[in-house]
Amino acid sequence: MKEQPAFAPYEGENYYGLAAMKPSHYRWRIGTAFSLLGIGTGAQILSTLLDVLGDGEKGDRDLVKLGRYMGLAGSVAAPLLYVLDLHTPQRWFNMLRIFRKSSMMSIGSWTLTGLGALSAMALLGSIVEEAGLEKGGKWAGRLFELPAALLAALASVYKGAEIEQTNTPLWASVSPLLSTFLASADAAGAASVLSLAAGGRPETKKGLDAFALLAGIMEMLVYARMTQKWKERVSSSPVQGQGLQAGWSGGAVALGIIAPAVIRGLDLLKGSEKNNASSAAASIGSLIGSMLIPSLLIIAGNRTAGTPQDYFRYTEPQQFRRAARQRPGQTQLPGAPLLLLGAAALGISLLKRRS
Amino acid sequence: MIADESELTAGVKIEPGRDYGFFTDSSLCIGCKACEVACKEWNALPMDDFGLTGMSYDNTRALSASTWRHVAFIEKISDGRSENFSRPTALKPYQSNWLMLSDVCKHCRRAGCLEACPTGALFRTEFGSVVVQQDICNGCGYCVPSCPFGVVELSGTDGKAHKCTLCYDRLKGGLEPACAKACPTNSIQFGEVGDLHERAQRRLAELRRIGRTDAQIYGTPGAQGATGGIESLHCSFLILDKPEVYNLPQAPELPMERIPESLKTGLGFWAGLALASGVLIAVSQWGKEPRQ
Repeated sequence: MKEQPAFAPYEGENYYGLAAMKPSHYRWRIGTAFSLLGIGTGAQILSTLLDVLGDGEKGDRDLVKLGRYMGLAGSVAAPLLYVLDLHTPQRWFNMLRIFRKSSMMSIGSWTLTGLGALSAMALLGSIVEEAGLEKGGKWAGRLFELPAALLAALASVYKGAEIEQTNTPLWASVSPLLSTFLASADAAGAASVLSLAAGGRPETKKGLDAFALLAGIMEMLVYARMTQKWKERVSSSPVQGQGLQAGWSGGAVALGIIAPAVIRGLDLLKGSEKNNASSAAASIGSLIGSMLIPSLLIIAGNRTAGTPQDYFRYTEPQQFRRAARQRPGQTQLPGAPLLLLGAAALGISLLKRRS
Repeated sequence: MIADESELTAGVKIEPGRDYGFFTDSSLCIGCKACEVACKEWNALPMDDFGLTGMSYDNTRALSASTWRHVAFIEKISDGRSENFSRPTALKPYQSNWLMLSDVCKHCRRAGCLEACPTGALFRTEFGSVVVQQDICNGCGYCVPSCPFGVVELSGTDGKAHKCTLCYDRLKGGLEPACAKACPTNSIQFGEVGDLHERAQRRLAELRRIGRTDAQIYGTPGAQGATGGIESLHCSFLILDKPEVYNLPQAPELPMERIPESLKTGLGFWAGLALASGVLIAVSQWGKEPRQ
């Protein structure tokens, strides 16, 4: 009888097709919460950037206030949905019983608690500003919006990290990219909402569209790397199932990521001031992407958790994985900082050419 | 009640501060399911779906919120010598091609469920086992996909997470767990983790010496199942085929190891985007009249 080696390649074995791990209990409430929180946190960060770097005109101040409203709304709506999703919701406060740094859900719970408080105070600054105490309100708002923006960045990122920090093959296999993927969808979605609201401010609108374009480019790059990792560790097409693949490829990816980036890129190259329609179309596309991506990722992820072949491919010993042995640092997006600077340089040169 | 009864039944005295677990030797399992019954009886666990699954003699399917011991049955139709996968006409010595394994919570040295729990409901006891405190758990379900072995599950009845407790209440009373006590063949062996791991290696060597070279250990340090940061399983197994045949992952990972890189990558994205925005805005303002 042949001696069984300590580790061996996975050859399709399974136990009557039964799932080897349990799928998460995330459903529509969590997907919706992720989307609302994402757009809210993106808006919180954008309103901070507008406040600090903008030219202070009334139109920009209105957008800052809108961004703060959105930040507060997201940081209140998401926890409400999370609490409703608990199987024992009356014990929601046990989330704040301890802080566990090894639990992304614990990190997220504390982050959202802080973000809610700071977002509310930042918004109060805008309200005070509008009530007549302009200077005081502005500085009060800025005092709270800066830490709020930092927590918003963490809240935007923690969602992807939370689902990566499970054994679900679809999510875990693309670690550490999901945090960036969902965060870039948040950035594009938030910039889209503010761009739609910035009708009377063409300069600001252009800036927001450029911001959304940068976020969209990053989204595409990260997605390309994610599909590669899925092929290596799960299967060639892990997003499967009736309707799901169409919704993912057509809705989330084509309509939500690629189309808006192409439209915005063309607008930037044409340099036309009269691009309200195309800008609006791109913004709506990005919003659709922001709303669809988390929910579809959750559904598709739960399916891979329930498929033993997907899980056993994911847990195959590294030396037998189908792709070449991973090089150190390969999991990081290669050259991400350079790519981002390159995109920024492209944007700068195009703006300079226009002026 | 006999004080320190485990010394008589399992040859081990139970003392707080030491790590205890199981070594399940599937080469001794006869598939009687006494362990499933004993577990259900002692812990007052409800019945699962009543019906035949068609999966050999396994009508339980998997570990769940109400099934903390699950006996797997695998009928290996071909012994690899017959062509066309016809049933073998001569059986190998020492068990036919019918594999049986009593699966249980592994009470991992580094447990994914425990490290994921945001409320502290999951904790490590003084006996090294991992237990869910029912009065703290709020049913968030985050422990469920964090377990690499598909053990812990939320109950549809009370909305909280449930799993094997290594009979925490019995250990406190000096009794070995119900499943180990009920096992008629001593396939399920209870003891201190270090002793059990040594016993597992000795048993592996013995089986290989008598010709059972497909025997392998699952869950001891460095072996299958104890990979990816998990370090070792307090409940280890001796199996007679690849782990996937028993629905066990070969090289599971502890998901928590991925947190720092994930957060750094995401926060780096926001920092880069904010920086790029600042640069764009500064350049677009360059050369313009400063505002009054």
